[in-house]
Amino acid sequence: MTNLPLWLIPLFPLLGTILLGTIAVVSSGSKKGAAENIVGGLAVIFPAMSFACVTVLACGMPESGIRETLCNWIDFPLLHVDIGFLFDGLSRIMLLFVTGIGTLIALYSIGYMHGDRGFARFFAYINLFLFSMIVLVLSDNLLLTFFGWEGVGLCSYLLIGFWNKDLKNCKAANKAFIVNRVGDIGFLLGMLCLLSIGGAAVLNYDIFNQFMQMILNGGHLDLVFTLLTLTGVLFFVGCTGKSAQIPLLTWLPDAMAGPTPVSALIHAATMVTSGVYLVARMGKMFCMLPEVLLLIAFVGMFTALWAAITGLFQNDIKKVLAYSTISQLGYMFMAAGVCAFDASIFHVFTHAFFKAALFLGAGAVIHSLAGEQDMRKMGGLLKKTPVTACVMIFAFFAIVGFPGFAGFWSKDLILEKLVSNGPVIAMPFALGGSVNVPVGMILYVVGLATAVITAVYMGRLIIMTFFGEYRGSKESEAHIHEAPAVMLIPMVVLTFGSIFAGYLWADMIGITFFKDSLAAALGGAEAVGESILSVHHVNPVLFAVLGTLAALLGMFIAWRVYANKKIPTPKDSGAPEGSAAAWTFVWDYIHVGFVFPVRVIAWICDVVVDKFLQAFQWTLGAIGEILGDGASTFQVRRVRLQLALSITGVALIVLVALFAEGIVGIPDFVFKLIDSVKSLLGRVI
Amino acid sequence: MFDFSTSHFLIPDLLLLIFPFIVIGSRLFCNAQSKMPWRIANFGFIAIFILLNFIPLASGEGRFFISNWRIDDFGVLMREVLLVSAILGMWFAKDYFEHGADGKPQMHQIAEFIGAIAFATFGGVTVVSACDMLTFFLGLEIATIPMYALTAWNKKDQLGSEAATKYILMGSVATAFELFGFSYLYGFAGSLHFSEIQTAVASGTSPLLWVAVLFLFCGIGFKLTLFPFYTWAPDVYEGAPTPVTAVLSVTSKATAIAFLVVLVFGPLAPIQEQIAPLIALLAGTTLFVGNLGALKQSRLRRFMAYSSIAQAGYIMVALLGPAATAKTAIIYYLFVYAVSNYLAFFVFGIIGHHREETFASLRGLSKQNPSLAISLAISMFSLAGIPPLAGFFGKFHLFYSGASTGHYMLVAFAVLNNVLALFYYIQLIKSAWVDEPDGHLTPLRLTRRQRAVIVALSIAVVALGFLPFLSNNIVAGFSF
Repeated sequence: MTNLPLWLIPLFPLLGTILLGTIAVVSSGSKKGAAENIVGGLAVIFPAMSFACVTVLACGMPESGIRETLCNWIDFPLLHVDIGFLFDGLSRIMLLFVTGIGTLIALYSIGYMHGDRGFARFFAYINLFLFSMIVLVLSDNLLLTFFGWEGVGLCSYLLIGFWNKDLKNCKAANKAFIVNRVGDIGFLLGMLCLLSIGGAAVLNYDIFNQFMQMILNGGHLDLVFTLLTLTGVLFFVGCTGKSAQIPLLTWLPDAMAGPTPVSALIHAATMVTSGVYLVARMGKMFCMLPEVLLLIAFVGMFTALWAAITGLFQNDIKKVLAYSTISQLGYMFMAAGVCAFDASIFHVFTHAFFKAALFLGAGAVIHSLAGEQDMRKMGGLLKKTPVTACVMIFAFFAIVGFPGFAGFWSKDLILEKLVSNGPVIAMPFALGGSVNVPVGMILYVVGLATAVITAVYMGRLIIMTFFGEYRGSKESEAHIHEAPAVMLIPMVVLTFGSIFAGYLWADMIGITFFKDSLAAALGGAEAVGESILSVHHVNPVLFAVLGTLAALLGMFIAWRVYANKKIPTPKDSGAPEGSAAAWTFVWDYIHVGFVFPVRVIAWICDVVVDKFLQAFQWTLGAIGEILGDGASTFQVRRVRLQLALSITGVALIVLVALFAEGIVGIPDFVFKLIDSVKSLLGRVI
Repeated sequence: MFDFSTSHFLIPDLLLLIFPFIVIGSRLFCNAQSKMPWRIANFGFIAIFILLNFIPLASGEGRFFISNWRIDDFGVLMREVLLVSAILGMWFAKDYFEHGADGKPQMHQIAEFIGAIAFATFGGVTVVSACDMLTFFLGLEIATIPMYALTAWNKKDQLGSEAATKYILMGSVATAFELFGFSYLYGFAGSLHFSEIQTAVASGTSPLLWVAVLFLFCGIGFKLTLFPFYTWAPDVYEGAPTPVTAVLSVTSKATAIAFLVVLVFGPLAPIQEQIAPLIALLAGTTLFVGNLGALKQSRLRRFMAYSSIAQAGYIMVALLGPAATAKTAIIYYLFVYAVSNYLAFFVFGIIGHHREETFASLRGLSKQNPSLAISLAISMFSLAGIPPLAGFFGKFHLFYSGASTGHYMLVAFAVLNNVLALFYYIQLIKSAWVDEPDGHLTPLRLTRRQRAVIVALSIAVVALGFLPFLSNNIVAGFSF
């Protein structure tokens, strides 16, 4: 069974896109739109088939992975790129949850998007997104990954601005796209740097790994260290864009303007983790660059803390989750920053389940409240929507790291790795001497504090939504209803995931299945990183206890602060605010600082340079027109004249060849001719 | 897929030779209104095209049959270009047999029309397969003579007859030049066979050879509408029925350029460097004059004539490069050019069925029929070479080929000329998108065939730019 070709995996969503896109275009003219049953069925069947392919392949995958080249893509003397796929431990895990959760969320969306005018269009985008994401993950070279990278960015844009009647949504979509483009520049420049170090072949991951190994074995690291560091930083800039890290994090809260299933799929479970994936994929390079690793770890740390604090003050249920996503992504980068790539991918994996469950739960809440997203107008939904509440509460336990749930295993693993792998850096004083800074401990303490805050803001969300009294208007209360089964089934499945996914790597009870499955893909990089970072082993139980205490403490604080507190009646609208996300204003202002000079330059170009160019263009254009007139008059209708003209032409060419002593001499002859004409003119004047 | 051994490579050629006889012969057995010949023609052309795609590429020297028939990679791909052109031309022509257009009466005898196109295609195939001068010359003539007949297909149209007369006169002169050149080449080498001519050329030149080369280039210059031999083209393109103009601008041009490729990279390969200035001179002047001429046109077909003159100049630029690069670039560009050109002609044809074929008729097209206006814009931008459309990559490869042997001046000149080209192509788009219609617009009706072909061609123009299949033959190249 394992001889399934790899290209089947991206093929299905692509077919789905084409089919659904056609349906969307064809039905756009009709009053009723396409039949939802058919469209919904198609929208789920393609990702499901893709998931089935992945599952079959995943079961029979050899240790070293499957490699397949479909065909050639770019063939220049300098650049040879194939459309090729690499299915190894890393892409297997990513693909399993991308296609699996993608299928579930497509199913959920049938219920959520029911009655929407753009039903078919929505699913066409979702399929296109899955196609791009699969290409991103499955590709065997950086350029094809970049293709997928851009593809998911485009789909994110399309889906954030899905309800494009509202200008706010369009602005949010624009912002997401533009901020992502800033990161993409990093990716592109990173590829260029890499090219300049190792040539075009290095873009292929296998060759990339061999190349890095060669540098390491041969001791050539000093030669390329500066350029390689630059490459690492540039790639990381690309990752900060896609994975919403400082400083490019502002787009993700705004991205919540899109439909909730989109937020769950793209802006929580899959796309935003592609930055983490890329770092892990290029782990062989990052593990040799301690400075870049430090940068990654600290950016991750600050992002995690910042986003968690910001999450405390949000009133929009989806924005809380958005900040929580940013914060969790911060954890993943912290892990990557200490070379624990497998731990970060493990957190990507578990996070995908519980965050998708949380988002889908939030979507169900919003659905039941007819579009209300402001938590201040919710409350007491536990009795009205019990299934949704259970899903959310289980996912809540997972995200805060309650013992036994998925987040407990992955988050504590990260915290443990921070201490065990964390480097100790000698910091020189200004006056002389130096002190050893235990970076690992700093990361750990901040990480633990963030875990407490996580429990607080998530507790706040749960309490404000499900407990207490309903604070909305009376007439809306009557309409509250549980979501339909088509939405509940994916939620329940994901809840099981967010409870049990963690047991794939439960170190304390001796399960390392997840780690082993990634060992072939990531083990090499980690071994190198650990040798550089001087790992010391620590007792995992201690961390588990501390992590649990942090979660309990956070939940306790949330209970004390929010359970009995009177919630203020909302003054402002809780709806997504388009381009100005509350509480990220600092970063937004920093962005403006970069945008302003560009605007000045644009103004100068528009007003000054353009005028000059236009004058120049008009002159040239006039000359061209006059010449054109000349060429048209040259065209005669009489055959006699035409023939005469042509034969004169032949005669001229023969004469020129004769005088120039062969055809080779023509250029010389022409130059001579020009010279003689010049001298003739000179004499006349 | 199924096994397609070497000796079977000849099958498509043989089929193509028999095919026109079958199409024309089928008329004897059915009445005038019967659709039989049309169906046979469709089936035959498409079957041959599909068969061609089973021939694997990357075969080096190619395979020889009876010493003067060679099938190599270039030949196979050229066959595909020619067949694509023939199929599209046939589909395009079909409507002109149902009702008149552009002030000309309805055409008759579709079976013979398709037969003539098939003969011309076979002529092109002969040119790319030839291994000696006799076959080579015959191929060129087989490709040209049906064109004379096609130009005058509309017997009741005086302009058409005038155009055909002009075409025959100019064509005969061209043939005379070529024969003269061939005879001198024979005199120089003492053999008809290409490989022996090549050996003779490699061993030293003489004035005899230069005269031969000059006359050969001048002769083909007529067919390829190079400056100063292009003067017949605008008149013939305008006088001929529109589908014939389309076939002329693609099949005839492709045959002529294939003739040059075979010549320059075959028998004349040893002196390619020495004749480079001649090629550069012809290419540079042709594209300049073609672009200038197109600036002030108001009739669509005349406009397309000048546009195709300029395109011939661009293709000539690639001839300066090394053999493999040049051949790849030319094949790719011909594919792209065929698709873009036919797309433009299809749009013009639909307009021409209801109005005059002038720029003014395009006015208000974007409001009246947006999809047609989009297709027009796609084809024009592709012809002008705007990324990411196929035309851009085509031109890129042409220029790359020219630049790889150091002809930077010419390439720079050609690129600058592209600005001129962009100007007049955008003029056309402007009339379709910006200019307000004056008064009442006759409604445009599209048949299902027209709609399907226009959609397919538009997608092809966009997709050909980045689809990677051209390094492999479509079916044989993929390893499923």
